[in-house]
Order: sequence, then C-alpha cells, then structure tokens
Amino acid sequence: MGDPSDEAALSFAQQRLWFLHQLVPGNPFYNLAFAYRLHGPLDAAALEHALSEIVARHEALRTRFASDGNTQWQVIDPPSRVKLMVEDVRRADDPVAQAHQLAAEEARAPFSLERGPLLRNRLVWLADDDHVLLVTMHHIVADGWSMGVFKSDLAALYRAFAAGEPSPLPPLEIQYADFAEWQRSVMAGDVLAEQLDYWRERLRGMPAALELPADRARPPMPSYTAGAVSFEIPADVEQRLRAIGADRKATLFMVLLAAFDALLAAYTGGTDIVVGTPNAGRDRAELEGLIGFFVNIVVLRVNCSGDPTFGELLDRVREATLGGFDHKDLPFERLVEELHPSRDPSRNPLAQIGFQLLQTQHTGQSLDLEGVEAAPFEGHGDAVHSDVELYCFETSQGLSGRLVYAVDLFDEATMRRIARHFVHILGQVHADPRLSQLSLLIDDEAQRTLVEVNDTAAEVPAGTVVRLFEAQAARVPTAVAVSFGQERLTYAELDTRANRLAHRLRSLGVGPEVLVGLCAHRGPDQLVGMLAILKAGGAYLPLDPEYPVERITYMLSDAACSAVIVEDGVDIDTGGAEVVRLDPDADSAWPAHAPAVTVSPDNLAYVIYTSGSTGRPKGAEITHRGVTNVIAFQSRAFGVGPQSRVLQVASICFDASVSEIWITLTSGGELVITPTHLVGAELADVLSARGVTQVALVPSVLATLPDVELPKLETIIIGGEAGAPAVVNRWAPGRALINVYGPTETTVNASYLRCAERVTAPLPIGAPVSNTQMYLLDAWLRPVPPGVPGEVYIGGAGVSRGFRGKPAMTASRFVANPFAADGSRLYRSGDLARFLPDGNIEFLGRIDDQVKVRGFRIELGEVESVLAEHPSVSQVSVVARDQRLYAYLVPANLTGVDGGALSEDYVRRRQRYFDRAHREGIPTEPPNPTAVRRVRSMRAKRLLEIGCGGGSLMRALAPACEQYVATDFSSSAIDLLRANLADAEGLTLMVREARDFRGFRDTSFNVVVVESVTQHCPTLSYVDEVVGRAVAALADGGLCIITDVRERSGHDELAIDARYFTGLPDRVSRVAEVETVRRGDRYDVVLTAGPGRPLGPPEALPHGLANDPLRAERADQLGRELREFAKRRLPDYMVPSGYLALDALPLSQNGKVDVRQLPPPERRSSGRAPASPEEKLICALFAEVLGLGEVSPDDGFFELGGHSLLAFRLVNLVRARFGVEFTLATLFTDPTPAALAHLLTRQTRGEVA
Amino acid sequence: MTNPFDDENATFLVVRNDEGQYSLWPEFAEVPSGWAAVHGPASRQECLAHVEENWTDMRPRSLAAAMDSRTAE
Repeated sequence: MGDPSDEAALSFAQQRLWFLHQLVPGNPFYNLAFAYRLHGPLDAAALEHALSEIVARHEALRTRFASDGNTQWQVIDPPSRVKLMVEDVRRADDPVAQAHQLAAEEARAPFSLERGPLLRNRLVWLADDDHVLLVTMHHIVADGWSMGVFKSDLAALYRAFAAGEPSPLPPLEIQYADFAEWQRSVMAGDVLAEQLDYWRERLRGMPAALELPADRARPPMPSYTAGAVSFEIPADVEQRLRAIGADRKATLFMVLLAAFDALLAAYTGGTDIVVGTPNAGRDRAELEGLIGFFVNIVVLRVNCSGDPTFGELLDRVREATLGGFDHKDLPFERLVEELHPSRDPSRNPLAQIGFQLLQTQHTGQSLDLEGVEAAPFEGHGDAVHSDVELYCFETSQGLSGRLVYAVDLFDEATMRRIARHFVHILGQVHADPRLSQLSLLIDDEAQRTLVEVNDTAAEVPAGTVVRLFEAQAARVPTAVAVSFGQERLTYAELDTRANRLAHRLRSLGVGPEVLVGLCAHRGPDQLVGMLAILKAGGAYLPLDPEYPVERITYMLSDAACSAVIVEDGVDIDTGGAEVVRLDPDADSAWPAHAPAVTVSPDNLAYVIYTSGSTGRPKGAEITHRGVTNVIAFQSRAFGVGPQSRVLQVASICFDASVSEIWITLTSGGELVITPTHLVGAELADVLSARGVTQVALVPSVLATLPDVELPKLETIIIGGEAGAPAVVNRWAPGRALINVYGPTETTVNASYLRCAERVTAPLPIGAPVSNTQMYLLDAWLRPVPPGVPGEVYIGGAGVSRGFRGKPAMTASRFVANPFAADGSRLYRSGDLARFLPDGNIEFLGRIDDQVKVRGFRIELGEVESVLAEHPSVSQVSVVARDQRLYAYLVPANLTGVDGGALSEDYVRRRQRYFDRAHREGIPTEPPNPTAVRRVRSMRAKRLLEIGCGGGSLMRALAPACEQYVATDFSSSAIDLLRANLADAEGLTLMVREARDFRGFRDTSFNVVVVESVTQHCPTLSYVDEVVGRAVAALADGGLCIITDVRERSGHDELAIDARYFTGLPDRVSRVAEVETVRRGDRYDVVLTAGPGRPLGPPEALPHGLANDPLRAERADQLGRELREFAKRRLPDYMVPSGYLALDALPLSQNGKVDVRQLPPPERRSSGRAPASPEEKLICALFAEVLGLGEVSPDDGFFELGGHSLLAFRLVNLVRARFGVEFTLATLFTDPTPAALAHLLTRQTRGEVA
Repeated sequence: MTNPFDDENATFLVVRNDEGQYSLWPEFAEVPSGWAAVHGPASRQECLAHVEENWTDMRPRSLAAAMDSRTAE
C-alpha cells in the first residue's frame, strides 16, 4: 500500500484541517486533550517507555505537514524516545488547582503542524503516588476513536513494561499515510462520481444555514469555546423509543434524530433540517487499531414539511440515514468543495448542528493502568466547531444526553431549556401525532408565557371617554382644555361647542353605528368636530385634508360614510356624503347640553385606515370598549393629571392621537396643539415654550431634537419603531421614558415597557397592557418557547370589530382564540417577537421584513440595532436590494469624523487644481473694488496679499506701496508672476498656504488682503485661524480686507454667514470695527485693527455659521468606519455593502421611516473595469486561480466558486506578487479584488501594520 | 415563517362564534371552544368566499339585537 518514505499525500479530512489551521494560524481549536488523575504507585519509567512505544507504533503521531504553496504532504519522522515532561507541584499551595491550570493551559497550547510533534504528554506530580497525566494531540493525526486506541495501547504497554516484559501488541499492518493514499486512489473516477451524484442530488437547494435562535449576535470569527449541559432520558421514554423504532424498522439513532429534527424544525420555524453526524470511518478491520484522523461528517438532510406524523418523519429520517451512510465515504471537504456553499467563516459549512449516538465502550472514558487507580480529571473542554452538538449515550444504566454548544452564541440557560424541550418531545413520541401536535412548552413555561404574562385584568370605568370628559368639564369648567397658538378653550367652552354641534348632527341622523367623516386641519375645531360626532353617538372617520383627493374619495366610499364634517376653506369631493360645515354661530341655536344618546361599549368610536404591505388601505373598526380600556390604562401608567400638558403630535389619522387627546381630556389636563407636525428645533421650542409635560414621539423624530434641556418634560412615550440606544439614553434619565407597542387593529396600545436603566440595545416592547393578552405562536399556532421567535397574536378589550365592509379579510386576520373558551378573537399582527429571559417581549420586526441575502435569512432590524450603537449614528435604516444590504444613516455629528486628515486632503486637492489651472491659464478678474478703494484711501505703505493668484490686485496696488508681499498656495501662480514681474521693487512673492504667517512680525502691516480665499478653505475654523493671524499682523488702525466671501454655495465650497464676521469683536480683542460690503451673491469684509481690549474668557467658534464642504468626505469616512464597526460585530453576510448618509430619513405619514422613499443606492456596476493597476493584477489572479476568463473588481471570490484550497493558492500568489503578509482570514473578510487592492495598497504604503 | 392563515395551499374550515363573527381556521388545528365549524374543510379561497357571502351584518349579534330592540321601542 505505498511506501511511507515517499512524500505522502494528506487525506481529505487532513487537508480540511490543515486549511482551517492556515485560516487562523496558532489556534488551539483542533486540540484533542484528555487528562487522568492517577492514584497509586506509578512507574514513571514504564509510562515513558509505553508512550515512546506508542509513538513508534503509530506513524500518525510522528507526522508533520509541509507545503510548497500549492500542495501539501505528510512528513513522517523516524521514531525517537518520548521524554515525559514532569511538573512537580507538590509544594504548590494548592497542587490540585495548579494541576487544573496546567491541564487547561496544555489543552489550549497550539501545535505547529509544520514543525510537530503533534502529540504532547505531561505528568503533573501532585504528591507521592498521586499524579495527573495530560495527553494532547492535534485532531489532524487523531480522532475520538484514536483516543480509545491510545488508552488501550497505553494500558497494555504499561502493564508489560512495568513487569519487564516486551510489547505484547502485534505490529500494525498498515499506517495512516497508507490509508490517505488508498483514499485518494479509491475516491476517484466512477466511485467519486457516484458519491458526488448522490450528495449533489440529496443536498440540492438546501438552506445556507440552519439558524437556532441565539442569545447573542454571531461573531465574525468564532472562538470555538464550548459549553455543555447534560441530561437524562427517563427509562420509560427509552422503552417507547425502542418500541416505535422496532415498529418502523428504525434504529434508536434514527428515532432520536427524528425527535431532534422535530425540535429543530420547531425552534427554527423551518422544514428543511440539516444535521451532521460523525462517522468513525473504520469499517475495515485493519483500521480499527490505528491512531489517525478517520472520522468523517455525514450530512443528514430531512424534509419536515407537510406536517408528517412522527412515524412518517421517522421513515424520512431512516431513508436519509441509510442513504447517507451508503455514501459516507465521500470526504466532507470534497463535498464542501463540490457544493461551494456560501462561505462564511463564522459558521461550519453545510451542517451547523451535530448529532451522535454513542455506546459507552466507544466514548473512551476509562484508562486502565495496572496498580494505579485512574479517574478522568475534569476541568477543560475541547473546542466546539458546530453551533450545537447533541450527543446521546446508550449505557447499561439507560439513555442520557449532552448538548455541547458554542458559548459565542448561547447561554447555558438556553441550552438547558433546549435539553428539557428535547426530553419533552421524546416524551410525546408515538407513531401517530403530527409534528404540529407536539407541544413545545413545558407546563411551567406555559404557565408563565400564556397565563401569568396575560393576567392583566383591571377595572375599567363605566361609560365612554366622552362621559369621562364631560365629568371633567363639570369638575373643572374653567380649566384650559385646549391651547392652539394664542387660542384657548376651557373645558366648559369645548364641551358646549361640541354639544351644540352634536345636536345638529343628531338632526342629520347621526347616532350609534353611523360613521361621520372628519376632514379638518389640526386645531380646536377639529377637536370640537370629533367630540360632537362621539356625543351624537356616532363614530368618526379621520380624513387628512392634505391627503390626495383619490385617497379621500376612496375612504369615504369604502367606509360608506353618509356625512362629512369639513373645515371652512377645505374643499374636497365627498361623493354622495353630505357636507357638514363647522359653524359656531349657526350652532348657537342648538342646546348647550349633551344630547341624550345610549351608546354601548360595543358601538364604534372611530374607523382608522391602515396601509397593508400589499393592497389598498382598510378601515379598522374600533369600539368604545377598547378606547375606554386603553385610556384608563394609559392615564394610570403615564401619570396624567390636571397639571399635565400633553402635546398632540399625531395626526388624528393615526391612533396615537386617540391616546394624546383622551388621556388629557379625561384627566383635566391641557392638550397643546400646534398647526403642523413639528420636528427638530421647532419641536423643542414648542415643548419648552409651552411647558409640555408629556409627549409621544416616534424615535426617528425624538432623534431630531437638538441637545437642549427640557426640565418640564416628565414623560416621553416612544413607539412605532425601535429606538436607537443613543436616543433612549439621551432622553430617559430624569424622566419616565415608556416604549409602547400596538397595531391600530387592537386599539392604540397592546404592550408597554418603562425604561429603567441605560440600555445597550433597543428597548423591548414589554408586557401586555390591562385587559389585553399577547401570544407568540409558530406556524402551527403553537406557543413558542422563550427565546424563539413567534408571531404576535393579540386578544382582549382592544381587539377591533374588524375591517369595515371586508368580512373575508376580517375572518382571516381576526381569528378564533384557542386560548380562551369564550368565543373571543385574536388579531394576528404580522409582527415577530420573542420572550426574553426576564419575561419581557422583544420586538424583532415584521414577518415580511425578513430578507434573504446570499441564502442567509436576515432580520434587518438586527443589523440596524448594531449600526445604531455607533456613536456617530443617530438614525439608521437598512434595506436589501439586489442581494445586497444598504445602510441609510443620519449621522449624529459628522464634524467629529477625522477632520484633520480630511481638511489636509481638501487643501491639497484645491492646490493641485489651481496649479493646473494657472498653468493652463485662468482668465484674469478685475481687481476687487473694495480692496482697491480702501487701500488707496488710506495710502497703505506695507501690504500683505494672501491669494494673489493671477496678480490683478497686485498690479493695481503695488506701485503705490513701499512693501508688497504677495502669497499664494499655488506654486505655478507664483512662478508665472515671478516671470512677469521679476524686477518690481518692494515686491515679495511667496508660495504658502493662507494660514502660514511664519516670518511675518506682529503689527508689521497696514493692510492684509485675504483675496478670494475663504471659499476654498475646508472649514470655518481654518478661516478663523487665517483671520486671527492676519489681524495680529496688522498695526493699530490697519485693515484686514477679506474679499469674495460666499454666503451660499454648492456643497463643495465654504459659505460663511456674515454673522461670523460681525461677531468677531466679541471674540478677537484687536478687531475694533467690522464693515461688510455686499456685491451680488458675495460680500467683502473690512476689519479695522485697534489696540487690544480686555475680553471675557475666550469664546469658542460658534456653530452653524458655515456649511461643511467636507461633508461628503466625512460621510464616506463614516461609511468606512461603520463597515469596520459592523464587521467586528456581525457575520459577513449581515454587513451592509453600501452606506449612504442623509440629512434626514424620509418619514411616512405616521412618522416611521418610509423605506420606499429612500434614494436608490449607487449601484456598483457589476463587471466594471479595474480602476487601478493593483485591482487589475488581483482580478487577473482571481481569474487565474478560479480558471475564469475575466473577473471584475467587485466579484466575490466564493460566489465565483472559490473554495478553501483555491483560496490558499490565491493567498500564496498574492503574497508572492505583492510581497506583503496576507492571510486567508483577510480573504474571507474582503473577498473581492477591489477590497483586497485597497487593503494591499494601504499595506504597501505602510498605513496598516 | 409563513402564517398558517395565509397559506393558499392549505385546507381550512370556517368557524363562527355566538356573536355571529366568522373566522378562518386551519384544518390541522382543533376548533377552539366557543366556536363551531360552519363550512369546510375546503380551500382558502372557498372558505373566504363563504364568509364574504354569509357575514352580512358585521355587528356582534348581541349589539345588533340590543340596537334593534331599542329602535323597535
């Protein structure tokens, strides 16, 4: 079977591990370690001899790995004596603790595959006759089975050598290298083709990843740290599992896997379940006694769709298992290469979940050294390479299990829960139940998430909110109910006006169940109309006069409205509906008391139209019962009272207005109305000027508030979308900040959470409000376990009667409540949420917001919340377009973004521009009139001109001066002037930047002209520096003339508000006077220098007096920073590829981010030509390695079919051509020629270490 | 995750409660107490057509009765 002295090829499995080792060099992730405590007299010499013999016996333990960049081979060293390292810790304070530490260190110490050896032994000497033996191997030369071989060889050899006898072990027939060669020769041709065909067919279209709901975001590079939880499977359950297996001709392995698949389907909400199972790979007798890496991963893909019975599922598992094991010889790495799934170093390819059933004799738990009592020495775990691995153990004592999991992703509590659920499902296994009938919740969880969370019963006041308002009107008639600008209405006035109009409406036939349109702008009249409709017993349909005509017409006819109240001055087409004008004078004839109408809590209060993701808007019919309930709850929870001033932010077309209006009017407080929907500084001004105590805002709007103190603002309600932690933490301290959640269809508010502390993630949506139930259900209407996403179903007092005039749509969205026996209904919200460990509910997004990019399922909200953690981001929205993610963001503070380097670049760019322009010839402009006039009238003798350019001012003024110093930052400008004016007397020409005053003495000039320079400066602080130095250089009475200042400009030139100059005397002590001279769209400034005056403490440069020409550069820079930021926190496929900074995100009518209005991202054209020699070279290398004709700079290596070995080849080629250090990990992170070229260019310039 | 009520290929029932309110109901799940099956099993479209045809007064039955008796007074 081949000659081992030749260069031996690696087995496929070894090649995979070798590659992974290159990916993260020096990693301990593939160490296999075990440790035993040995009590009793130990013959150390015999032990050392036995170890030497084992190494001599098994070539694998003498193997190293060499590579020339393209291929790798095994180097097998000759046998040599093993020297057992002895650590004497007998004198340590705590020898056992010391041994544990050594064991942990040993298990984590990396191996060098190139240098070897790949087996380490250490003996820790605790006391006489008390030792710990540490053995560590690299997985590339061993596997779980090998550990058993190692131990049994060790036992036999130790016994013999201790007794002075020779080795009793028969020589090995073959060695690992023989196997590797044999594998390569067999796994070729037809055999390979047949195996590949099977797997290609079997795995076609499988999901890129099976994603168990994790406790933490997946890190870009896993740490492979493992955690483990163990559990028992009751004996009666085991008996039933065996019985059902026998019925179906299935093994215990298959029964357990079927139950595990059912669990995974339930947890992931998927039906295509893929699990990897290790196969020992030692079918041939001569392999059984070998140490080496034989184990292979067999991928078992099971289709769980169509709600099979457990028996049917078991049949599918049986078929997948038998088929898989018939084709188990195809090495996993060969399969990965063949299928080249989307590569993502953050997870194992193909199968992220592992399963194995082990008999104890194969678990290798025992070590038998004669005369010594050996017990496993616990305390360190091997690395875990899957997300989760389930091991079941079949022992004489019964079945038990162990979940080994990635600590990067999961908490121990979560794994304990999954273990409990697995046992819970095993307990329900019979042949008959369908998967949909398996319960996921264990009793205590059901009690908590179904009963306790929903135990929200509370007293609700009798009657409608209108009656509660009337009670306030009787109690505090003279209190201000509404303020609008200068206008005030007291409770009595509002009540009377509404009563009179209500009587008029009654006369028009308005009463219970009659819907009346309300089309009016914000203000007291609108409120009077709303109250009057309700007082007449009717229900209102809000219509925004600014809505498009078609929408109003549609709503009026869809809602079958017979009358519409229309504000004076508003002209709408009401179709057949009667128009009622608001007319207090006409109404004065009607009675001032409330009309007598009987209104039931089940009667309609209003109908609000909501837009669905598809189709036309539909009207949710809301009852008085729901309104009274939520208003009573909110008044208590938000703490509203007679002293409250509540801003009406929401339009009455959105039900947030219901809350604002009625919590105020039923509590005796004041409703503050503004004519328009306000944001930013205007909103802050109103909040401050009107002493508003409570406001409800969408977080996007809250984020627009400037950084001001609002001491009277006691309560902020946020809702409608997730609030970035920066916004929450800015506004929560010192006041109540409450997050509310609820669809319109369940009346304003279904759950709430009061923010208690600083947050690092968006606030959860909390728990249900009074008389409200929330259930999180999966696709089989089963309650999901804590931590698992489910759709939010809402029941209780607020559930709407339905969609007006849409019975079918109502029957499909408002559905029978399976958790109550009372015939009540639940509204299915289309929102995804999950229970957090503390019992709060976390909102995850809309069901239809889930996107798939490159086959990975992504919650956009998750990406958004990570980006929102960046301090420079105040708002962010992530969208998926054309298989790429784009982040739209509003920067919190761009000026903080790397100003120095960008300013420098900006000046250099301008300088290059003028250098070229002067060489090519710029038209000469006439000399600046202000400068000419003022310099001539004062007969200046010594003049400094900054920015002399073509020299027109110099030609006009220099002849009259004794000394004329002219500077410009363009050397070609100065060169040209020198050539023309070489011998002019008293003239000095210098190349220098505007702020460079080196060599000019203070008070040495009569005039400094800053000639048409300011618009080319990068920032106002740059200009301020120039002005400050210019004034210092002036003698008393001298003039600093700054010409051609732009007041407005395009984005790329600096524009300065004249207030900057007029404010200079307050900031600069020697500026005595300021004069500005307007000339069209620009102005000149003349500063007169005087003796220094005492000033207060130095004032900073005021903000907001200039634009930011660097904005685009800063935004680009921020985009780059954010990409790095995201890369450190998110797996590659979740990192947006484009970042667009906007002044504001477009908001829809209801204040949420309107994704459809976001500008289209700049598409990087696929197939563009390389932009630099580096890009061109790397594109060529990609093409060479991938065997493609052409590769464009934005193509991804792995999308083009690149795989691990090709990646390694590419890395070597790049290293060779560029002569730089470059790792595989880099290729995984930046897999396009463009990204690599950028990185390598920086690296060769030495910008990155 | 698709919602079981939106699955165009699944089989449904139409159920109705004492208030005369209708609900689509997937066949795989047990009909909740307080509700009675009035149509199906049938396709989603057929069930929705049944609702559209039969649920003509969308007021809860008890409300309709109370209002009608008030009008009759």
